[in-house]
Amino acid sequence: MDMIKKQLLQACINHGSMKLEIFQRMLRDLCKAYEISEESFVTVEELTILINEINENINQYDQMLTIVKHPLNNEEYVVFAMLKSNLACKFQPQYTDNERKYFYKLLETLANSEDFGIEWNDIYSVANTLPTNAQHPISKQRIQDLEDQWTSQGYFIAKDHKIFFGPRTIVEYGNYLKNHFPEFIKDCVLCSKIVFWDIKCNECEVKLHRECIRKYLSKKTNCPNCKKKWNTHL
Amino acid sequence: MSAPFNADEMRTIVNSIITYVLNGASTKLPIKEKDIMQTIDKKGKLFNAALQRAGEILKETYGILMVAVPESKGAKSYICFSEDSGKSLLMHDEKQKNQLILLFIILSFIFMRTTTSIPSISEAYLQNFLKTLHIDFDVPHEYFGNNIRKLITDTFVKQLYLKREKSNSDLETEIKYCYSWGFRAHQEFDKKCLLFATAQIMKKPAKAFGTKYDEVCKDEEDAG
Repeated sequence: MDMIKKQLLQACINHGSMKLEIFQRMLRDLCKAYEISEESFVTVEELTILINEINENINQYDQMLTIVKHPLNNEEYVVFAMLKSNLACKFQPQYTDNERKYFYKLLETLANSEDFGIEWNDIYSVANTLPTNAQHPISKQRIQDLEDQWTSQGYFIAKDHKIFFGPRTIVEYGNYLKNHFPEFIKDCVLCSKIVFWDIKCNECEVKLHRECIRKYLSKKTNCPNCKKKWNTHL
Repeated sequence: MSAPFNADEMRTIVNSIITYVLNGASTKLPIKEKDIMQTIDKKGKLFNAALQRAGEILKETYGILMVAVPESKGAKSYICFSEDSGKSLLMHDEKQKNQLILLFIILSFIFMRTTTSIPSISEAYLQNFLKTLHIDFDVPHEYFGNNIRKLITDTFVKQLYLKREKSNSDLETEIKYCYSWGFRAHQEFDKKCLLFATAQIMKKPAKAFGTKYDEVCKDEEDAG
């Protein structure tokens, strides 16, 4: 079983983020390869237990695995997240300083847009807003490659010709986004976890998770924030 | 008897090294010891002890082996690979999977076509072989990517899958190159597997490849 956990960890580190169903299929393959029964790893609850067991080993190294349901497509992802920003995090051998700055610029641009999304084509113009880009511009091909890499790693997610925050960004950069863009990105007042899309109250415009407000409205009829009568369609 | 290191400081340094190694692991490029030292700004006995501890943790918790690259000309460097490879194709993403398949083809070819007296094959020979499989150095390939030349002559060499050396020839005026297995290939690929796979493709029993069969049996004996 230990071997399976290690292989799962390696795969998660490699992918950065993967759909839960792929994680399950991989687990089945590994069980076959190591001749262990797959019976105890079928439901999401059982998978969560397995993931928590792995976390017990890696939390001490400022890392964790977690299952995230992305609000935009309701798909579940297994995300490998590095939690603390130690010196070594800044060194990612495959990215230049400029490319790292580009990543943060993309986060900033997404945070400032209405639905936290930008048109796919705008990724090029965002690079041009970098002050340092003038001397050593990132080539169009490289921008595309970076975008592909970051999307497959789970930092961004593509939907309807637009790009949004991906599951891994939500986990790794949640606090960063709340701290840097507090007017736009906040916690849901009901569960205190970060909320991006979901539902807005018509009166006070506060954002809440669909599930949170649904549960709340089964007992009450007003907005938990402004206390006015709730009249937004769920 | 050296004084024990501060436990907290040690833990921070070990964590930094682990982060550094895992961040760069997917590129498969060798990690230079001095790059790590520069990034986390530590050196000497403390660094060496932390590096060793990090290596142990990588093996125990992640199943990743961090091994020093031999003969790396002064600058010590390491490569990382799984202690137990290839249990599920889903562990790799699409691009990595395709690259591994190309490597499998190239490494098998080199293995089958080299002997102790002829330890490498020429670039021209490799190119011609790949052409028979419709894999051309200078033509974008649907499966293996747009720049096969760069992939084989540069990327795989930097990742230490392939060794690419200038071939000694006083007669030739042009510089020619020849290929052999790189350090990483020796660690990650199992020669016996390659032989049996090749035999299957050629529809012959593995024993039909006499010298090669003896070679992998001897390797197994030596290891086991």
